[in-house]
Amino acid sequence: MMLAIFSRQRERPGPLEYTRQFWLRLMVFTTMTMLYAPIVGLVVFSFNDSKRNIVWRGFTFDYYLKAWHNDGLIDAFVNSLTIAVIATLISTIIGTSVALILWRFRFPLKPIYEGTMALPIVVPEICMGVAMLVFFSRVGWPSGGPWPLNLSAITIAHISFCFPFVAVVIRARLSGFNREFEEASRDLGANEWQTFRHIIFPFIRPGLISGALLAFTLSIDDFIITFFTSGPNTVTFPVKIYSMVRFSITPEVNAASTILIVITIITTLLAMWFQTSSRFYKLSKEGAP
Amino acid sequence: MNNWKDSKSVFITTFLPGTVWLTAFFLVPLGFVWVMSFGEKYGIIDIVITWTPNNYLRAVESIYLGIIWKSVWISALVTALCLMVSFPIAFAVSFAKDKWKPILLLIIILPFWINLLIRTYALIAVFRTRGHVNFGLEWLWEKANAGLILIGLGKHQFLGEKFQPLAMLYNDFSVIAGLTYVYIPFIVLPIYAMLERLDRSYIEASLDLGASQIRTLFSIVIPLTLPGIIAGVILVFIPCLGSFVIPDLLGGTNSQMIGNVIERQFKSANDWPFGAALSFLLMYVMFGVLAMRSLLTVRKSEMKV
Amino acid sequence: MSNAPTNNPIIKISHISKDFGAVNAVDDVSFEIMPNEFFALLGPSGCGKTTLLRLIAGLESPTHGTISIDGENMDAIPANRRPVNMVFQSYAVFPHMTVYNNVAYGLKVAKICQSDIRQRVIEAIDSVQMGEYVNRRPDELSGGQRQRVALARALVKRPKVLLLDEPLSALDAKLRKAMQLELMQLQRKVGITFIIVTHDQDEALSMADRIAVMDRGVVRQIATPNVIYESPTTRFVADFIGKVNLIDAHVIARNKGKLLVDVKGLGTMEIFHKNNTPDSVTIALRPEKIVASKRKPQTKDRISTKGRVHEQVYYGNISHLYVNTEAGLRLLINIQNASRSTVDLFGIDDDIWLSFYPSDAIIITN
Repeated sequence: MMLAIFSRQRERPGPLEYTRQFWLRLMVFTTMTMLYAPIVGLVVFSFNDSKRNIVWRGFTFDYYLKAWHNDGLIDAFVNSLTIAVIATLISTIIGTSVALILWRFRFPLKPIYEGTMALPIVVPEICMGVAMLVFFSRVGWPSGGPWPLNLSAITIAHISFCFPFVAVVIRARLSGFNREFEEASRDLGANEWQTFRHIIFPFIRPGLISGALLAFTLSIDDFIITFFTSGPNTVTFPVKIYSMVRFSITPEVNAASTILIVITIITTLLAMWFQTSSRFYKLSKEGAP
Repeated sequence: MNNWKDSKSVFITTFLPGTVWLTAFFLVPLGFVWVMSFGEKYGIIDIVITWTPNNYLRAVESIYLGIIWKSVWISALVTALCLMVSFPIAFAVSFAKDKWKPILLLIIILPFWINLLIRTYALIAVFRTRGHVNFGLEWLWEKANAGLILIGLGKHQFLGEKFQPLAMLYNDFSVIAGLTYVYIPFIVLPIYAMLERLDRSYIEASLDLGASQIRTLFSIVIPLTLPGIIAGVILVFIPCLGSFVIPDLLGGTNSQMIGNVIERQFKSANDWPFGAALSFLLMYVMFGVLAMRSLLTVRKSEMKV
Repeated sequence: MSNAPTNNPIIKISHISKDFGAVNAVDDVSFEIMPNEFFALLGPSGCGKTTLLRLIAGLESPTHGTISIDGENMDAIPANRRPVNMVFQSYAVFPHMTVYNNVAYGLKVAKICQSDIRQRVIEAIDSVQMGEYVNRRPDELSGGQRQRVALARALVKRPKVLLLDEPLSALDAKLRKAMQLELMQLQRKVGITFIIVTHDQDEALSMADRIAVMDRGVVRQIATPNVIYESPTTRFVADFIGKVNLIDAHVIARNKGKLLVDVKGLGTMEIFHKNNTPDSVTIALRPEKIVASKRKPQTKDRISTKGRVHEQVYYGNISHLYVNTEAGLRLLINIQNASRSTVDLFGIDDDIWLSFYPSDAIIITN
């Protein structure tokens, strides 16, 4: 080790240390920059003191204030939130039941069940939007009615495409569960419900929260399906932004978009934190802590 | 795993919610669309199901066939571009030091979570005539022009009289660029997941036997990560095929894709049966792609690691 | 078999160090390996032996130091251009290629012409007795068969040195013994240096011409198996290889190549050894060098002590006895169960006399 002082070698990257290679780093950096630049630009220009928002003129919060006072926007935001909350609650319940049944039971035609449950994830959004529109109109679904009932069509559509995602998340969490804990619980006399409540549920709770947050994000962000199922009185936040974009591009649109971005990022980060969290009572295959 | 008969009550409790909802609010609506695709319009509002194949026949008329074809090659091009960009990134993250991996992954995936509409809108500001890219190019042009004037070549106007901005919006280019921009994060994840599962010894063995890095990439890494690549391709190709927001906002009237046509049938053109037929054609394509993929996985499943 | 000084070393390792962050995996290691040698890197897990192997192969880059293979400095030469090939611990047989294509891979990338490839590949596959599996896929083969494919794949390239990373650890006991013999025969037949990494001392002792014993990144001793076993130079080597009794001792007198030592609990004895030792040393005594008897031994050239059997562990052909001596030492001895009633001779709490020749005691100075 003393000879280290005399040796002028700099350690070369090993053949598999690709990430230390210059050209790869450059490529990743360039791609990341190009991915984020437009978004950063959008956020920055939401503070632009210029109505036509083409050239930077100065810093201001004015357009955020304008957005705050824009009744249509606020209404749309409240709608989005309401739909998201209700959709999240129901999707989480449905998604959990699907995850449980796939994890727990063997039954005939199970692969078909699994595949069908995955359909909402795979089907192109436009097809689903069209289907919901056709369905609600042919069935004569009441689109009037007091708030929040008039949001029911959109909410139902959201639940349909959210719950499979929740199911996927919870299934992933369940795959790490050591069945011996469940068997021990039954051995000690607990019935199905008690075992679920005291043993299984605490384990999947982080997955549940993560799945719920995922459903929330999907619902709040959804544009295409909502576009087909919403009407003039039932506008959601993304749909409102779309009409603002079509109409005129002012920093107000940027401001509204930035708000949505912030909500999305925070919710997603929370979801990921929960999913990987070991703060909660962790019953992994390696045994209890 | 229990047999369903062992705890029938629990099975029923967990079986009902999902099945009932999916049937009532997903399968049935799809069924409605399928039935409607065989219908006809009578008057402005009424639609009668006459079981006519006309809608499908109309869909393969030359105008629409042209748009369908265009959607297909745009989607294919976008998928290829996404693949080329994502592979090095997935590689870089997979071979990074363990403590950096989650952070790098998060940074790549984050844009994926931002609303599609917002990301598209952000691109408008970048691509338009008086947008960021053109501003940047204009700045460069002015600097270069000033340089030329400085060395006395000003009057020849090598760079033209004025700066000509690039027309990057409202054409095929913007649609392709926009779609690629939006769908890159989708492809990174499956490829990354597959790369993580790749036993590093295979790469080392290939190098040890004398193969170059490039040869190793094509002979060893890609064949062994193929399932991930295929998954990623499907995750991009199908949504791309059905997209309408991006062609709408970035492409304008010059770049129509099948999604735009469908949307129009349900809004302005008000020809629901035709729109239904087109939607279902899209679904058939999707099923076809998925079927091909399962055939490929069945053949390759013998070849487990 | 011995390292003939007239040959040039095939591998020269000079002051090699490798750090992984704060961890010092290999610490200033230097030694040479001779042509046509079966060389073993032996040590507990984490001692750096696999890292050293990978440094030779070029799969890791050293933090300091150089490696030369056949006189050529390997600093600037990447893994895929070095004249060595490796058999990986997991075999790394490419799952998407047949046995033939796996073995041919290294020749294809070297752009050797097809007819030559065919001939060499078939020859290599036959030499590991895998001829009838030529067109099979790896997932149709057993672990042992995949290992042979990995061997053929590496050897077909005619490397100057073959590296093997824990080649026998994944095999079951019976297959392991058979493979040991096969590898030794293969090495003699092919005539090149084999370097194996192992944590199993039996493997190293039985297969290698010379062994390098490593501990926490440092080479403790390099010697033939016999010397490593009978003349370990450090406590670590004595303890790691085989079973050993380690007893403190004190040098009383030094006298022209002989030391008079006072061994704790056993009295004084005269042992042939260099005189330049510190005053405190350790005596290492292998269990099989100690003779057990019911009565006090009559001969004067053996050191004897009386004790009581504390524990007996029965292995069928031998038994291990843990004996508490009168002077308070706990000694381990082996007895051969030479007759069917030997096991009854020395039961727990029985009296027993132990004796050994002082020349069988090894002096260890560190």
